[in-house]
Amino acid sequence: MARHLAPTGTPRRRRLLLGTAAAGVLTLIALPIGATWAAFTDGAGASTSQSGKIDIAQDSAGTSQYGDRSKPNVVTPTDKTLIAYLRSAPSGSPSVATASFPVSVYLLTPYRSVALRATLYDTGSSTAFPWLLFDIQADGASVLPGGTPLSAADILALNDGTGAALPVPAEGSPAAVTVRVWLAPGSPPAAFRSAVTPGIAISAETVGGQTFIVKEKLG
Amino acid sequence: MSAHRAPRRFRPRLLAAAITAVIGLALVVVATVPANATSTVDRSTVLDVPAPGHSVQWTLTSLATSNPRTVVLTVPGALGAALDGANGMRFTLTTEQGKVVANGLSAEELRNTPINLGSVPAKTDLHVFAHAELPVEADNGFRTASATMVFRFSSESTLPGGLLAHTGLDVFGALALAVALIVVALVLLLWSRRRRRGTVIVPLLGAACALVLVGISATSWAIFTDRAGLDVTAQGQFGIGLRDSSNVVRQATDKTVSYTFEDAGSLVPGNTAVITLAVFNDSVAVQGRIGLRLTGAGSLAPSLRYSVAVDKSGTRSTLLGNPDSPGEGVAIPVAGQPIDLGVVDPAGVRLKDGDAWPVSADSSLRTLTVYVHLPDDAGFRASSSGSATVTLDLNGSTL
Repeated sequence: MARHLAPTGTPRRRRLLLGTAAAGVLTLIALPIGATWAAFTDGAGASTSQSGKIDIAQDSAGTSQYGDRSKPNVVTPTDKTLIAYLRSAPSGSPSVATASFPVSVYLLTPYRSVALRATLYDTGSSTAFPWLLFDIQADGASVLPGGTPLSAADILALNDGTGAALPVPAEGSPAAVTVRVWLAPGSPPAAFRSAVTPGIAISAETVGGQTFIVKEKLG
Repeated sequence: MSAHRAPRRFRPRLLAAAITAVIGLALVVVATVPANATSTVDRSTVLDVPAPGHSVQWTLTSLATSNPRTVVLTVPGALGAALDGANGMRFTLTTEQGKVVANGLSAEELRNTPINLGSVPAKTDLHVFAHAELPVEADNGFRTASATMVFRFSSESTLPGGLLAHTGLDVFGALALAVALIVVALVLLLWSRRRRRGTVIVPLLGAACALVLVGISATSWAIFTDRAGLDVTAQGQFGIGLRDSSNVVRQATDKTVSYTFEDAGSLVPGNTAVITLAVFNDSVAVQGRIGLRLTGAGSLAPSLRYSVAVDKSGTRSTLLGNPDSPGEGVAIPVAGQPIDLGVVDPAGVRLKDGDAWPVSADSSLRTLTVYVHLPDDAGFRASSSGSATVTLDLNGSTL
């Protein structure tokens, strides 16, 4: 019986086969050990999402955006006073009653270091527009130098070509802007006979250069 | 006659019986009540579970006794996750003579292996140097694992006659007194029985009982041993935690403490956000290396410039960019910027979430200040908003 059960290979060959098999098994065992940890580790994490945004509108809810100057919010003055003609170059704010229209500007974003600028433009192509002088008042005071009315081109040239500076309104409150319009001295007769629809464009731009501390959010 | 009657009031049998009873009771007490070991006391030792591949050492001491003794060290108690599994702590015990009496045994193997430390001369302390190692294969599951072990010295006197090991009870005096009283009792009994020999059996039986008690006591003394239990507590000990601006510890109860900051809404061109984060090595005794990986994401992320400073015990140093001029900070890769905070000392105490920060742990603290600067580029004028998420991943590891 023993002879029938004996393996067919020689003893040396059997040892070789067994040795090879054992080496294979040991290799399989040893491989995972090589990939184990060698130190305790622990982690901690912190993250912060920081954003910057600027948003102005003509109402506090932010629905009156009118960001496209070709499609402005049309304001129809309740006061039907016509545009007055100035006989001489103004110095300071003229006392002559003239046409005006109001605009409200809200700063909707919390970042308050903002430059608000106002420029005037012709929503159409009136021959009178180049002869118009404008005064921009915010909260009852002129924002132009000396309060003297200026042409749209001169207003655009203010503040390095960015326009007249408007005060930044308090959170939740508007900057109440009033635009008053006159015909400049020496305006041609055609200017008196033409209709004009002036527009005011107000832009807001953040002012940087600040360092702010990010506050931790404690649970 | 009355002068002759006075000696008859002397009752030798009654006295003998009383002496026998006292001896018997005394011996019973001595034989059955183990005395406290006052020469050695139970002590507790608190160890830190070492990092994988590292070890801790301490010394076990059996204090000297007045008699020579043999000492056996056993581990009757061992419990804790740090001892479990194939990668649990391994113990090596070495005598003062340098003989290794346990070599890399697991706690379970130690429990099953009483270690005979041999004879110790009288008035000599016995020291055993213990070395516990956590195998390098131990994974991070052992990071907070702890264990408690009881090491017990059991000593027995080697003097002939089964003299007691030193237990703090003066058994020599008791034994001498017992023998003397037994002799006196026998003399008295023999003297009284000259007249009434018929009743000699009862007191003799009493004396025999006393002798039996002496024998029982003498044999029972052999089981009196001097046991000093040494509780060794190994506590999990590595972690990193955060300290908030209120000097309160923020430590995760599960795995990773997560921390967030409010959105100030002020990351506009030209501005710099300053993020402060205080991290510490929340370990009792293990030094750790702490690293930071800084990553940014979001529409503004590619434009951000980073600078990082670290404060170590009041000394500030720059790790990245230019903290004094954040506009000169550096851009970081999308995959993140690794920053090494170096080796950090342990806090020395185990701190939990909500603990007030102890000043004693200041050396374990590194206060990071991260400056995130958004350059005032003209290209941003076309945008009315932008955002970025800055993530600070801190990782600590044992050395």
